[in-house]
Amino acid sequence: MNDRRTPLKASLLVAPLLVAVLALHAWGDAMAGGLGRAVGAWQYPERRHSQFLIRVPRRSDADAFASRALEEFVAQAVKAQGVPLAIQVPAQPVSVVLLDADPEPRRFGWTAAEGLRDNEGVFDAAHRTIYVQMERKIQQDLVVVALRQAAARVLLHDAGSSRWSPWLTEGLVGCLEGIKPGDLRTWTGDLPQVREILGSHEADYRGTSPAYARGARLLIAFLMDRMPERFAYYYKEERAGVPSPLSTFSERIGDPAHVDADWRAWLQAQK
Amino acid sequence: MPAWEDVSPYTEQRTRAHRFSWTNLLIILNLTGFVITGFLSKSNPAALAQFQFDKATAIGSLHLWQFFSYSFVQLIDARFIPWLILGIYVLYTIGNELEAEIGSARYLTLYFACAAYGAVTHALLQYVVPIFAPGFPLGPAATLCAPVLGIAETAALCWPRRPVLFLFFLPMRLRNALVALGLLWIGFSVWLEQGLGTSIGAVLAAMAIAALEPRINRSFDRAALRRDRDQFLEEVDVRRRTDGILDKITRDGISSLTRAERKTLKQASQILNRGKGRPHE
Repeated sequence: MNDRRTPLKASLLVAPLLVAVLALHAWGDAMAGGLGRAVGAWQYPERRHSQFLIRVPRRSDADAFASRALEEFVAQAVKAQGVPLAIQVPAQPVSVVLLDADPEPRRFGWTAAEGLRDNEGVFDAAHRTIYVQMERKIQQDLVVVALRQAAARVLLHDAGSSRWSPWLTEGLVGCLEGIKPGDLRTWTGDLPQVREILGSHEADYRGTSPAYARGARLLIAFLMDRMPERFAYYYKEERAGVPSPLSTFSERIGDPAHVDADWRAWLQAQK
Repeated sequence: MPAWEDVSPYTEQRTRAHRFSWTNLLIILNLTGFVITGFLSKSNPAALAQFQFDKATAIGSLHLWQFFSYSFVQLIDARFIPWLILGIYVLYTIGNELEAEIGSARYLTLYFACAAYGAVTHALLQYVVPIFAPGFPLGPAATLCAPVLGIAETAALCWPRRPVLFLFFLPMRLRNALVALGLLWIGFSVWLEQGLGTSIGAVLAAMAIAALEPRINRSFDRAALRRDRDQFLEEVDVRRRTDGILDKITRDGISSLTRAERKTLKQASQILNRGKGRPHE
């Protein structure tokens, strides 16, 4: 091989390889993420409906009923609980993604939607986005329920729920959804004690076991039904931030053990 | 149609195992890799993962050896065994002959360049394909198929009409056999869930090398030819002028030379000295 040619040939062979490896090392994941988001934006075009930016699969008109359900829910929740809970119509736009069946949302960068089951929703506060997983044949009523739950979390997030105890947020979601004591009759199974609910963590509300979520919702329903003023004081303090929900609860509402007994008696009366 | 040995002047010399060739060493390494993979896949998969190519480690953590080492890790799967045998056979026959033809250094460069570019292509597919086809399997790469295809591709471009026994029994031209084998392998690589990206990358790299290298050679040859021609013309011109100057020196003495004539004489001296090593006559 001619010696003068060898360096040029070696450079031409190695340089593209090195450039490709370094470029992929530096920007590979970002490039794949950007491409995924672009593909996601194409497959799920965004349609604006007042303060909601709704993404639905191309050629789907699910955004029509979704926007109607969301707008109605927000108006109704603000009208019913706007003053006591200090919630209002979202000032910033909220993104809503209605996911098709088998979408593998991670590839579009929608990691918060991973693991969602059919007709289940989640609110990703970091990206201010609601994700709802739809079935292949859309079950409109179930999708609306999921949207309302997620929208309730948006309203509470805007009111400052990131500073509150998880049980309060979970219970108020039920309250905003408009669950009445009579609706709770069908709820069966063991409920945690009030003390346990007050000491619960975010993780207790994830997963398949609904005991804590039901307990929180039932407890809020009980407090708003039987002792609305004391609950209003407690809520005000929680919004300001409390170090221990248990002690604040004891001060503002009462001893958790006594409240637990009253709550269970109230539950029996509802059945 | 003549047999392989009839048309290949090197086969008798080069495909004998007792004679050292880098190709035979690569064959031994590949077979050793197969045996070691068999042991490690059960006893220590984590160690094996260090040698397979995966974008997360090779590019994310810059485990650069994986760009080459993956070609010595073989798939432990009954469906892959025929392809391993075929790959080894291709290396033993075509690989040995190509090494004899192009030289060991170029051969090894080609072998590992195909492996490395195959790995880069596999990485690109690992980045992009899950976005469009999330269910498509693109795990770590681990086969010898990329460099073997690169070698076979280069041989097919060198000797497209050479007769070979396709799948050991069907006489075909090398180019046609490689196209058929490539298409068959693509189908199998999808079925085996292994080797698609690396194969595509290796074939593209081999084609690019086969297309670029002759151009570079021609460009250097043309430049050398131009340089030689210019030197020759310059030499003729200086010789012609030098003759007149020498006549003048004979006639009027060296002191009669102008500065330009002295300069011409100096040039002539340099050219004649340079010409001693490489005369143009």
